[in-house]
Amino acid sequence: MKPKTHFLRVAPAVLMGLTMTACGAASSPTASSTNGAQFSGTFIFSGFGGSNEDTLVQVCLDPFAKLHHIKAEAVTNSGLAELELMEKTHKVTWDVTYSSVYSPGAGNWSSLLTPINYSIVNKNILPSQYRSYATKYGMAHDVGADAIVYNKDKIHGSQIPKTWADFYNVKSFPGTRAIGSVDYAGPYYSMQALNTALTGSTNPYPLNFSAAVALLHNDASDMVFYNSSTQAEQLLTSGRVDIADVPTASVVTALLAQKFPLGVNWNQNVVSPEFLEVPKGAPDVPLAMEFIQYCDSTQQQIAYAKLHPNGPVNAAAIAALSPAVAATLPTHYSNIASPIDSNWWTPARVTAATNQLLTVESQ
Amino acid sequence: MTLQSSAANPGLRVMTDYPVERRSGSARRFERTGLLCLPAVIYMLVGFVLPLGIMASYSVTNPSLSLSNYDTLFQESLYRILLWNTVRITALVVIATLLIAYPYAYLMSRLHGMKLAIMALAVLLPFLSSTVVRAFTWLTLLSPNGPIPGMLRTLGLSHPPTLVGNSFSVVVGLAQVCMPFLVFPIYSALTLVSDDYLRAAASMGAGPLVAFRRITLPLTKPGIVVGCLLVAVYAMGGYVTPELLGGQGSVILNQDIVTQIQTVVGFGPASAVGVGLLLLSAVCVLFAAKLVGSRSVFGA
Repeated sequence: MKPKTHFLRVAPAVLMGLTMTACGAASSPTASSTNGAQFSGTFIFSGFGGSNEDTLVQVCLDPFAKLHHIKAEAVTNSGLAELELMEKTHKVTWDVTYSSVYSPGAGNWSSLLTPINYSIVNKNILPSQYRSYATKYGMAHDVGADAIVYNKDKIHGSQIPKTWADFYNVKSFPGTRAIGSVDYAGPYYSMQALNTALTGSTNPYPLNFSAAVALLHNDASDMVFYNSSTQAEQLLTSGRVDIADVPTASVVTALLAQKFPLGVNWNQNVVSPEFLEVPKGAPDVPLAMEFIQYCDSTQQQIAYAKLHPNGPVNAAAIAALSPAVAATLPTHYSNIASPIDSNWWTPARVTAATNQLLTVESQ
Repeated sequence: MTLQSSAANPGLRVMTDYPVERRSGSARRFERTGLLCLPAVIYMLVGFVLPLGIMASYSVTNPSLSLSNYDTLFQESLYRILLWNTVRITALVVIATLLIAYPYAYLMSRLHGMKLAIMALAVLLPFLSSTVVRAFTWLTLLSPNGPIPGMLRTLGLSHPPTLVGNSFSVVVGLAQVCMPFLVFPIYSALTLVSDDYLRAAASMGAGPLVAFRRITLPLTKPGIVVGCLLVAVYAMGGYVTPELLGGQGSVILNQDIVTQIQTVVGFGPASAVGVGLLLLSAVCVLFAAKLVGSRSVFGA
């Protein structure tokens, strides 16, 4: 037998050890986000991470804690599934949760949420176009939007898609496209955009999932599905796609900052609310309602809009924005928008839309 | 120096340099009954069997007590497509990894000292970086403006095929991640193939190819099968690589589990898919045991 280094004899064990270490490292961020005590006198705000959560902490959570002389903490959640697990174990630690723009059905998740007390939370701050964003279980805090974008170096003049009907017509408007996958808002944004393309109306409700999926099938070979805003940016900058349906706050802001030749078409932009909600069994429900009211107040909404490219939902705040700031926000384009109807989306419809779109992605 | 009875032959008394260790009857019983394994058994029960049991119970109780989640798995065309994608991509990953890992392990088995250590480290080192980083590296390399399509254009291919966002990139990414799982079992098997066998084959007129096919390959079969099993199970359970490198046509069952939980808070359907994946892994293990015997797979 040839002499071998001792190292090689233990290599499989090292390999297994490294694998287990990697698994542990991968799971630790999620575990750490839910490690708080059930109620320790600390007001816990659960966001979905990123710059949006940071902004909310800066303009809402920290000043609110100072105002009420309480301790406050922000934890990042991985979605409503985490809340369901908390409720199953009767250890709800969050006072307020912030549902991503990618789950507008969240406002209707009655099994997980406490009804909003509109005697504390003033829903009259909403302008007429966002009135439906005061749902039974969630009050809007801001609005995000998806718009059609394109690489200006490759798409010119009459080749530029101006509507969702153009976007989903590859024959007349050639070029590879990207849209969000089911894990990245696909069930809401893509279904809404597809139905807007089918009906020609910016209010395409009730949505027809089967017809939408049939239209998507026509262009499926030219379609790329992205799972994150970073991936969407990468698809555009690498030249993999020429045209895309992307969230304006993250992708458009990032690409314009990089001086990427990005054309943005706000026509029929799909607008969706981001909700503040109170979990069922939250430690301090009245304080949570006050927090929501505070976040939606005019001053906090103006402060938010100056720091984050999502639009505020407070009518007085929208009116008070400087023209330069206002022009970068979805609220500026609400007259040409196709708003998502939060009240129409239910968990059952989210499931149906998800499975239908996933079937297209899988083939 | 003391006289002791041989364990193998009680009648034989042997001289030893160390005093006889006196063990109590209970200690011997403790060893005999395998109670030393208790911590590991408890760990596995709490950390593995219990969660699996909870998952299985979720699959028939969430949202209500019924088999509706399994009914959905069999009825919806989505799950037939996802199952096919999972099996197809897993098979391709195993084949791709084997085609690269076997020659690599063979070369390793012919080397010694520093050269051998460098080759082994080259396989192990990528394990020290995150799967996410590795997936993004492939994304950069394979994207249309990346170096690999650029190289293809330089070689005269004006429109290189799309290398990312499909099954190809998923297979490439997973094959790299899985490489050590196949290289080391094959290498271990190869080190057990004595050069004497090959010399004997040569003395009887067998060429290198015949010797490889008739001697080396059969003797390394257990290493190949066990390595392929590890790769298959890992590929079936992979999430990050397919999520970042995949696209249309490469969505697998694992990704559906995440979608069901995060997008629609569907613990029941996700658990049913999880049970299905577990059964698929069990089929792979049983198939491997059938090929090379349960001793090679389970070690007993």
